[in-house]
Amino acid sequence: MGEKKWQRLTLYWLYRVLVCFGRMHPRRMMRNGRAADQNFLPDEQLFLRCRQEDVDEDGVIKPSSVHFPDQSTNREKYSSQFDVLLPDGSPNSERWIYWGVIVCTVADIPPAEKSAGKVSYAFGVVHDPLDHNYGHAELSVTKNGVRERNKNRINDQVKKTYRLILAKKLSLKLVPLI
Amino acid sequence: MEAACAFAARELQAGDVRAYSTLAFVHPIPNSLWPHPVARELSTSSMDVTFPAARSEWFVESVRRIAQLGKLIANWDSYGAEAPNSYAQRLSRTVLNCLSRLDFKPKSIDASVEGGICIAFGKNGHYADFECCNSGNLLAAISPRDGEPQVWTVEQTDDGVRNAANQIRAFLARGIT
Repeated sequence: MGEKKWQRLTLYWLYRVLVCFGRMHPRRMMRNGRAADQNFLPDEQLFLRCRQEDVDEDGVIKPSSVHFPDQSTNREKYSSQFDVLLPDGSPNSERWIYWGVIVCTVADIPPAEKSAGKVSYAFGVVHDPLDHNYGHAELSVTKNGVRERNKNRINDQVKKTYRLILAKKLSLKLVPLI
Repeated sequence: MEAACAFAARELQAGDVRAYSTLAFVHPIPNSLWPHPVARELSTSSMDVTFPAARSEWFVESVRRIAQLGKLIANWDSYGAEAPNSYAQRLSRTVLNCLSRLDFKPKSIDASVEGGICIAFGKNGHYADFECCNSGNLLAAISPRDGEPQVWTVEQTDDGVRNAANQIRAFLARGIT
């Protein structure tokens, strides 16, 4: 663990120094007035950070670690996998460098589903650029064609089924140290 | 600790036979003290009350784990997750008590990023869990390695939890739904 930790730290700081030239975030992460790009290819990767506790001993991501709706991710098209580990100034975000990275593709997002009450749910991904993170995207849900952001208005069983399906598709890209 | 056990014993004498096991959830009791001598004596007395045999190590660890999860603060996963609230903790202890009686050891107990506590099982790539939600709902799920998951709401009674646990156990034994 100790050796891995130092390797990760060296890699991280090389990344920070060489790519960021001392900035908090690389230039390409800045929005700089760019519009959102809603064109996703099915094989585009989406990155999320994770802790050791989010991964079981077989390297499988636990469904309890999957948000629904509006899981934040970073798009491969505009980000590197390390971008999700860069601190964003929030409390404890400096510890993210020890976290791992999990990944899924756009095609892995579960298909549409109908609840018992005949309400139709559709799942997708929406590019949602932030000022300091242009590659930010959210895994979204629409309920009867309208985007739903309130998890309390989504059927519990639909929510759980989605999380179980997505967790099976997630894979570990970078092993977390803590 | 001694005072807590003595309190439980008094409750038992007063007829509340569930007090001892309930109290064990409130006060983490070291395995070496389980069952407490007072309760053991009462359990073999003329009250015709049967207590579970000495609680297994995993049960005691699981109760401690739930107590730990109760100390999480909001945004513990950095993506805005809620901490497990008292409803979720109480529900998870109820489920755990039932699992203990069935001697059905969970694989892991984790906080859910959607608010609550997840008691998970797994075998050969098949997955199942109980999700004790902050909303007070109790869900059970089974997810075969190569198939569609099934999710259902569990009735919050001893029978409801036991039936769901038996379904999960059967699923993991067969590996199919």
